[in-house]
Amino acid sequence: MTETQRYSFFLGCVMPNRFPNLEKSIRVVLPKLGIELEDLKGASCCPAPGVIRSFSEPTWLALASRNLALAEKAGLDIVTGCNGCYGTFKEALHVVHEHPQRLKEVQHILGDIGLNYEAKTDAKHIIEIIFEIGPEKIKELVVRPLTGLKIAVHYGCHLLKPSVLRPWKKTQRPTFLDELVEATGATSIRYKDKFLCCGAGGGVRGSNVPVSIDIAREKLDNAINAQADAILNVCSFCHLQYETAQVQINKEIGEMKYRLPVIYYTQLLGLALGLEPDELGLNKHLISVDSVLNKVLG
Amino acid sequence: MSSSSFPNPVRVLRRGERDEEIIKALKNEGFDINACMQCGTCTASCLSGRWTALTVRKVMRKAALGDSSVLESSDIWMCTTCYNCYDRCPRDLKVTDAIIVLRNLASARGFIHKNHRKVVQILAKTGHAVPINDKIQQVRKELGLPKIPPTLAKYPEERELLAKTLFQLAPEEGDEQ
Amino acid sequence: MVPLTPKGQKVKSKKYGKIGIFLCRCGTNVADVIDIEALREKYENEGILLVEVDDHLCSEQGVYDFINKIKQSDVERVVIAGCSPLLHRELFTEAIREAGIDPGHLQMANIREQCSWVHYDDHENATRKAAAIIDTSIAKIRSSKPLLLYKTHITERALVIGGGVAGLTAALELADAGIETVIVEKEGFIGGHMAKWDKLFPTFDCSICILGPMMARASRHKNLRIMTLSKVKEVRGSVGQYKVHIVQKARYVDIETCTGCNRCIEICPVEVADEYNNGIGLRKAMVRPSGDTVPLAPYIDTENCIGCQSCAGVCEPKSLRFDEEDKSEILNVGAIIVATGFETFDASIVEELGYGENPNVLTSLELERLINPTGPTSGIVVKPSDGKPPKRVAFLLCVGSRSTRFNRPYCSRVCCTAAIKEAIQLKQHLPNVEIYIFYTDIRTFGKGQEELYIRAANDFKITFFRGAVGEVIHDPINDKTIIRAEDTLLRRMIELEVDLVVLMVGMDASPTNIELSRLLKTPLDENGFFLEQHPKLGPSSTHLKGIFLAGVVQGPKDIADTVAHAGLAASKVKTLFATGQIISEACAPSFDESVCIGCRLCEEACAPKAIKFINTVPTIDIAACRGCGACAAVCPSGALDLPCLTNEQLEQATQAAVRFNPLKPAIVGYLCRWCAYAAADKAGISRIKYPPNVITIQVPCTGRLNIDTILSAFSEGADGVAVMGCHVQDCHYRSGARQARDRVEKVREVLKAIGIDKRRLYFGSVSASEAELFAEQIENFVNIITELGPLGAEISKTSRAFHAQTTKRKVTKSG
Repeated sequence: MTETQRYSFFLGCVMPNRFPNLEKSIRVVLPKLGIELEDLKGASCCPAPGVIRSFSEPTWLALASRNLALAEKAGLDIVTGCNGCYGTFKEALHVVHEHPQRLKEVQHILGDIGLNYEAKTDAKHIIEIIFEIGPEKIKELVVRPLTGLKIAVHYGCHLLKPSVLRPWKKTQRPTFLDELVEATGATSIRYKDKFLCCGAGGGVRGSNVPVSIDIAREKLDNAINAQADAILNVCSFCHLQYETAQVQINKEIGEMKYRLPVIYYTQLLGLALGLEPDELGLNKHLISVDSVLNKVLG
Repeated sequence: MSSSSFPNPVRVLRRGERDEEIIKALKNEGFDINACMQCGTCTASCLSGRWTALTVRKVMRKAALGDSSVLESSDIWMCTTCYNCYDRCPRDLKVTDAIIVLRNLASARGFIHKNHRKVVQILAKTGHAVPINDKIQQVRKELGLPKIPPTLAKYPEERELLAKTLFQLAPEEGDEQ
Repeated sequence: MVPLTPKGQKVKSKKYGKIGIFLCRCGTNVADVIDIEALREKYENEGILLVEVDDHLCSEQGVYDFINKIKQSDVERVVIAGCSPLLHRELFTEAIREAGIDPGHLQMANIREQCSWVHYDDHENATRKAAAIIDTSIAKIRSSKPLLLYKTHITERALVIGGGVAGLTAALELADAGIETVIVEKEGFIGGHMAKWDKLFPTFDCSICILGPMMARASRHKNLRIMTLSKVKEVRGSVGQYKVHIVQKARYVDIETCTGCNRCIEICPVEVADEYNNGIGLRKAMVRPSGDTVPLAPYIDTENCIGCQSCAGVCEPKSLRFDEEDKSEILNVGAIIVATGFETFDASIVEELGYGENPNVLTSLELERLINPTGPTSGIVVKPSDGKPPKRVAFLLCVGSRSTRFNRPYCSRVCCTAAIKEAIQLKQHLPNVEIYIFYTDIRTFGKGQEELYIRAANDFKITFFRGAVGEVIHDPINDKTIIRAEDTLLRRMIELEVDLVVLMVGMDASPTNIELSRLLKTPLDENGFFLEQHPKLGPSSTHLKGIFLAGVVQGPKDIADTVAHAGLAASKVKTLFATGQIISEACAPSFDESVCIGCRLCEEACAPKAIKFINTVPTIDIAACRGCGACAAVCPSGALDLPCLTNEQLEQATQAAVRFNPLKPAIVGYLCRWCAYAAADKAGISRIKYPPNVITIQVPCTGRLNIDTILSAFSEGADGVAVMGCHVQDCHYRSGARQARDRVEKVREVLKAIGIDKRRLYFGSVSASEAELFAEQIENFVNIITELGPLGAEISKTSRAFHAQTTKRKVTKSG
């Protein structure tokens, strides 16, 4: 890496408060790519685009803007590892950029708590800055190629859409994450309904658990049918959905039928970069990832 | 034959029955909802619609007509906000955002799921929709991370300040659905 | 009645001269919005000699009354308040001539397209604005001059760009009428898209059976010359006398001697993907896509040829010409028909349909090639993935049509019936195949097409689903293709496993239109098709008299409509050529040698080089002059003036437009007749609203405007001045808009220097089709001026100096 990049690391809720193992993997892997993370101290919930934005859009916008204002104060762009938070920030920036009146309202509210906000900071996803480095560069850094590992890639929705507010060339059938997975030596397999939503967003996970789990289950089935060794994600909420859904279904049906490891991209990349599984929090999964580790580490 | 012999008599939406607030709210957000040609691309792209009664096309139609029953039904809360309909709409209508607008209106009228209200209350109290607990604090420690993450969880005074200022915007309590 | 402010004291008719005003209600188009009675009263009170109101002035009765009323009165000058001059000026030019008045003394006050259709919900302001528009027209006509007419010779040769069915139809019509015609085709063969199709809807006649004889006739016609592999590089001149520069790529095969035996093709060792079959199958570097081509000689694709010359070895008539070079030629023609057709929508943009990834997702054109006996599978329809016949096929309509998402909001008009036709053909080939057509609205409006729709459902048991398809997914485990849609009539989700998905791709405007539009100075519409002169009355004509449109180049059409449209284009050319000469309004400048100072600025400003200095005096070539008025605008002494829009007329119109504008801020808009004025009209036609504060003055070109005119608007008290013309690079007089832009920039500096905010003078560009952009610019400008406040809000003492200065200037000039 020629130059170091610095970002304000936005944790959100699910990652630090439910899956700190993902947080850990990001904190150890990104510096290896020349990316330095500075904690966004005192950050709140993004807040959740499904529930809070639906409940009271002005509250959502004010709170999202506060987080962005904190990053602006630090003089850095914000980076997050959760698609939902990414969506919130992208949309919140869009709202104030498009409607100067809304920006004024937000500035007024934030002024009351002593914050300046110009909406000048940008919001990025961890996978976006990794992709900026590029699959080629990552290939060069790999010391432990994950050859033979079959990965079912799950992009998640808010990473890609609404496409007008996202940086990707293709958003309905994108390939950037597959390219990043294949850069580690693993194989990104083709499977049915690869672009299906995890089913957790929009507040559905909160209000209608059976539906939410059914949706997740269909996708897990598709990945399992395609002989995936693991389902890979880049979103702490999708991660939560796929891990907890399996636990819940198993409980429901009374057998340990669902055991598909759920892996976050920086965990996979960390393995390829030669890091130890425990360093990447791979020992803290609800669904054991041992099958993956056995395949990779022999 | 009297109309009462039909279980669902023909209903004509009369002037004044139109819920202008719905139409206005969508218009304010820049949705030209009358441009919808009811092609069904949204429904066809909707994963929730495969599992639930949500028919996005119908929601858009009702909204365009100002039919307030759209706010009372739980359908709009079945959307996972995957944005497929938004991205694929041939008339470039921001369908998902329209659903969010409808949800805001529904919330303001007290049509909120109790679990959602709970999330909002937790957020107001802790600054997080999903707060930290003892178990995770232990996991964090084992991972070599600080037990309390550097979020609002670590700054109680800031949390209180926010509860006083930002959350004044939260809608008032209404009847739970 | 809308109260209209009287113009100070009652003006005597003497001051006005003998003016007549005809107020047209245009049915309800004008009268529903504008208070015509209030206008009548106003002008009667002001002492106008003749004030008449008519329901439809353009009707037979209306024109008759118009002529008689003028004849019976002493009227010498006429203002018609109604529709745009771009619509009916020619009609009333003839009528007023019949009434015994020179058409130079006719003005049309555009209170429909630029008033009632824009401010349709504001009766009061619309009426007040209409009065100001009419007042401005009166001012403009007060010192009008008779029209000068002049005749030019027509080169009775026509050029047809594009050799598809549209171009061929038009060219044959002309050639049959004895008009020498040249077809320029960019491909190696004529026939266009139609040559690729098997059977045509709704009658199932074979495409090549009807196109083949046309092509053969065209190639043998004594009045017709076909140039393949050719492109238009430059176009100069104007109606009747175009000089067209054409570049023809070398074919390397002699058309005269080649017998079409195809041996050269057989021996050619190069194989590349066959774009003629949409990439299905392969072709050689020696190209001839089928046995029916015209010309029958193949050509060498130099991009892929490896230069082995095997072809020469097998050619018995020795037709290969490896030393042939690209040719360049200048053609003199009197008229040009544009018939460049379309391209099909690239379905891979719609990622979720899987085109390009899933081999069993085809476009309608690919299926057409599969069905066609001359196609890559000799007419056997198979699943591309495994070569087996499909059992279940889905057709998806509106792929790349009716899509704001992909900037193609229009209906392509052929896909519905084409899908039905292809579905029936499939059924005929494979009787057991199940067919599903997913539609949003079935539009089978052409003759015999609805009947075909009924047959498809009744006799062929094709299932129609009312619902657009959301996505086509592929299950790689069992190689299944699944369609997701909603049966919107039953409110039911559909998940349908199919073997073949056919995407009915829409028609895209050809990307080459952009370049061609620039060469021909003919605007495109918002979707990239060529803009017709009038959507109903002039669908084959353009705003330029010698340029005509044939077929899909103007907008999507089926073959029947294309042929009708092309026939009209040919007919228009024939009418143009009928007299062998063109009588046109000459607007060449008048010249007063006594005041000329010999500065030669006019010579420099004249784009067509119609002004040449001999000794110290300019000579004007009337035939070359295009009447833009750039010379008059730069002439510092007033020696040059434009008779059809004199400096005096411009200044009086400007004064009126400011003085009689009842609204605040009061803004004058100078619109070039080609683009900005047409765009303003189009905004009206599209009912796009914008603020009513601008009173427009039509000028031949923004380059006509001199600095004095612009400054006089301000000295008269205008709060803002907008100068709007074509996009600078698209100026119909080449350099006029650029000159105007530079001049406006200078005046802005002058304004700044004397303490006037320079934002009060605006220079804008729009093309004739950019109605929304026009409305947007007007709205923005009005907003800016509103924010600045009335003229003078920013001026301190300097204003007095300014006024003194401009008044002095006027005095000096007239003195």
